[in-house]
Amino acid sequence: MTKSIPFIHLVAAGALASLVACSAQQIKTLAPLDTNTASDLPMVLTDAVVLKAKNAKETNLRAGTRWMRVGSIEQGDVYDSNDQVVIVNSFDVHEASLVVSDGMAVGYFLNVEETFVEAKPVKISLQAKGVGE
Amino acid sequence: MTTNRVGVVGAVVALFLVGGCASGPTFEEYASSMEAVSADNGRIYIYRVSSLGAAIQPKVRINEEVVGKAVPKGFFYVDKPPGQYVISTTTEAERNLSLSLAAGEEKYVRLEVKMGLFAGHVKPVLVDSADGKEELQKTKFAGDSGDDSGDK
Repeated sequence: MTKSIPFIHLVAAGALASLVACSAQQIKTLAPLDTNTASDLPMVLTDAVVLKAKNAKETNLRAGTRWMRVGSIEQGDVYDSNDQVVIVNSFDVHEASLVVSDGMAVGYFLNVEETFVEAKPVKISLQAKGVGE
Repeated sequence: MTTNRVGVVGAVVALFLVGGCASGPTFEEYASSMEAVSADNGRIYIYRVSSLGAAIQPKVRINEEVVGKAVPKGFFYVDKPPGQYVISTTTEAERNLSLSLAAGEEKYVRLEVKMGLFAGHVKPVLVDSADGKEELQKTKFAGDSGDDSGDK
């Protein structure tokens, strides 16, 4: 009674899965970086934050890491850190910066592509270094 | 007979797993002969820790230029002027990593093996420098191997 699955069906299923994986990319919005809003004031992330874009792995931002505002885009201020790497890890991988708006981490700024990738907004606390220490 | 077959299969599997691993000096041995990155360049370390899918060793390209090969348990490094780069490998699919590099900066790229339809994919992933430095200790030098294979 046991029916074997024809090989061609397995190949088709695999190809479909592969196609789905390839198409599982993020929606990217062109976002030119305005560096006039950059600041030399170092900020410290007071609590760990987990950021997640659709079709990408989570990014764990560690508490105590230092961040600098390197500019802004339409969606918010853009922060970089020398203490930890930020990537959008999907089918392809993109080095990224953090985008913060009104106390919320709202997404990623892809440095090479100069595009914004939306993430599920999450509360974030960046405090000027020295404040509250 | 059965024992013999098991032995043969085991040997083939073992060969598949470790046969293509890097055989150069360890990172620690090689590091002493490495020059520091010059002030007007940045350095990208590229390495593969896992020996999973050891037979799959695609070339590694930076902005389309072949710079090395994804040898299991191997590493190599490339010095480049500041700029934006795309690191890619191709098996049945192309996997890309985009990053920017500043002068004097060191970046660490781990090559991860992922399942594919007919062949595994080798995916370049940017990692924290602390992780990169630690993982490099488990590798051997596998440089100058980008041009000698017929793979993609």
